[in-house]
Amino acid sequence: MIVLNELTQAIGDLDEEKVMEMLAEFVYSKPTENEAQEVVNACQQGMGIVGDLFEKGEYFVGDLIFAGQLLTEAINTLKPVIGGKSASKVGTIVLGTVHGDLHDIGKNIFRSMAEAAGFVVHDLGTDQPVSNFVEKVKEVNPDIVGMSGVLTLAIESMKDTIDGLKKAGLRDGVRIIIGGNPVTKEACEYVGADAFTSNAAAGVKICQGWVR
Amino acid sequence: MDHANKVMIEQSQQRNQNFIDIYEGRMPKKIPIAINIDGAAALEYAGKNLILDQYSADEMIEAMDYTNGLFDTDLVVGFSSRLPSYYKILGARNYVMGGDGFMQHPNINGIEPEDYDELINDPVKVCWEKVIPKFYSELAKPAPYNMIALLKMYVSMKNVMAKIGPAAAHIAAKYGKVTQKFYSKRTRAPFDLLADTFRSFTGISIDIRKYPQKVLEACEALLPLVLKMGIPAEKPSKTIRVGIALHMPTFMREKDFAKFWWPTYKRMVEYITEAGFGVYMFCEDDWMRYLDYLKELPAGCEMQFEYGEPKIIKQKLGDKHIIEGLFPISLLRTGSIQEVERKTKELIDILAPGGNYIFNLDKGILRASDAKVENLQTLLKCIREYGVY
Amino acid sequence: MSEIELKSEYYKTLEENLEKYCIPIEAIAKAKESIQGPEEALFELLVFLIT
Repeated sequence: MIVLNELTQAIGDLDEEKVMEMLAEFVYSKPTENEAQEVVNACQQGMGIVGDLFEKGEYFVGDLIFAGQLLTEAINTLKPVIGGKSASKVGTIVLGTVHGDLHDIGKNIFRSMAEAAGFVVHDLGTDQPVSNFVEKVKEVNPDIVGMSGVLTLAIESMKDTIDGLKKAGLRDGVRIIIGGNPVTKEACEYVGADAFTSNAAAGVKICQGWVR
Repeated sequence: MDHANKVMIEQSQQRNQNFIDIYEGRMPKKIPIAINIDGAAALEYAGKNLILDQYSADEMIEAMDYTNGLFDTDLVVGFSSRLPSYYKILGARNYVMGGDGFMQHPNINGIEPEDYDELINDPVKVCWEKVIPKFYSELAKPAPYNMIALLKMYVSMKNVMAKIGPAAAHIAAKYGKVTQKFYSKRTRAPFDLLADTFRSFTGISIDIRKYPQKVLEACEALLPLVLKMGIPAEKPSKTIRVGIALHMPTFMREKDFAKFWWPTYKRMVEYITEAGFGVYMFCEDDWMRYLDYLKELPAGCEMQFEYGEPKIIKQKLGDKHIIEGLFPISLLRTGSIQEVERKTKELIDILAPGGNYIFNLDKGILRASDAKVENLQTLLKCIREYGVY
Repeated sequence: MSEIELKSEYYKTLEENLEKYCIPIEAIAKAKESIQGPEEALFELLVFLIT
């Protein structure tokens, strides 16, 4: 019998061996889809712990990367028991690194955490022109648009992208979150986003709040 | 010899001497200025086309000349060695021109975890056989395609540098900049080389948890390589600095830093120092939690800090090491002239007393938009007037 | 510090190169530029390419 809060803590501790052992046993015990969903939730709560420890300055970006990997491995292990109808998708996100910027580490951490949280993520990739964001938003009608950037020029690109969405009449239909090194409250206001973060786990929490 | 020439020659000598004095442990007459400006920024300041003009040594030289005239830096600035011609010829995946012309460095790993044993056994072999084909699609092709691509790239580099070298010397003399070569070769901490070249940022972050013993052995195996990369050919002198950009530590927990990153780095710095050279390290991001480690390094290391508390850094390290950095480039981008002057004097007041101080920004100026012309000019003027011992 | 010397299948010292190319050992001083120069230049190029 899996102890959910033990699993949550093991994820929070980034104890890969323990997590994978617990999940292997759980899958072997032929659980119901509901039980499996509870386990997925426990994993996500574990990611919440990771995000908190990052915020506190006990975990660092390298640990977030490992956490993202651990979460992906955990979800993959659970796939056979999560079921055909699969966890109800909680929302859709269009994600990308803005034009002029080729960095993707933070974006990728966010993506794996968001997917584990039940979001469908359309990842455009890096160095994405405004038009790509606009077209994708038109195509999939997401709840959220996430923009990432590490270089200082990314702020201007984020503003361009949001202006592009406004011009296309799409701004009001989505919530926008920005992430990366240079993002601050001032940057968030300047570009016209709804939220900002430099912590992927916190970013996912914000998105979950929006789609509830 | 005309008067202007003599004036510039003397200015060069004075500026050289400020650096020499610092490196040899004396108080300089004035604070040396190590501010650098990237080639892309120089092209933009000179009104050139970033997408087209990096293919022309002549255009880049014009931009260098213009930028060195525009900004009264100590060092000759405005050249980038990573040019698109090389990387196009090689079919590079590790250096790619962004949509606006700026050369970027995507996260790509040279090897997989199963290659660790081979890496530990012979890192240079793994570079040629695995990393090179992974980074460069043309070099992954069979002979003769790969040999043609490599030779073309080498000739491209030779052609460019044959012009840049003399041009840089001419510019140094013309504007009375530093004419002595203080910064020699560049190298990496073994762990950073393992991360940046072989496993990538993402990969190494996972490896320290999944394969810790391999990571430790790989760092040992890379120590001879990073030393050969760094040890200069010149006669040993403290005025010759080996450049090391420190990458991974601030993204790691301290216990991982202490176990994996620090030991081989410390040995590397000790070796270079014992060989009679100096070290210049760029402590990127925020090193405040690691200051006690830096204190352990052999005396006279030149340390550029990006973020941190100037007073604490000076107090903890200022007697033993040469401090530089901490001036926020963001102020050059969005601040007023008055704010720039105020911050300059504030930093000089904290960091300059007692010497062991070189003025620098928190990071390099990569694009013209990073620093407004009048702000950078004001900054340089202020250092020259206020930074006198 | 000999344990710090770089050893590789793909990097040869001048002596090793003389042996490899069957050049008399007496040529060692004369061959430094034409034989070892390229070895060192190639190493520098490799470093540029992998960093």
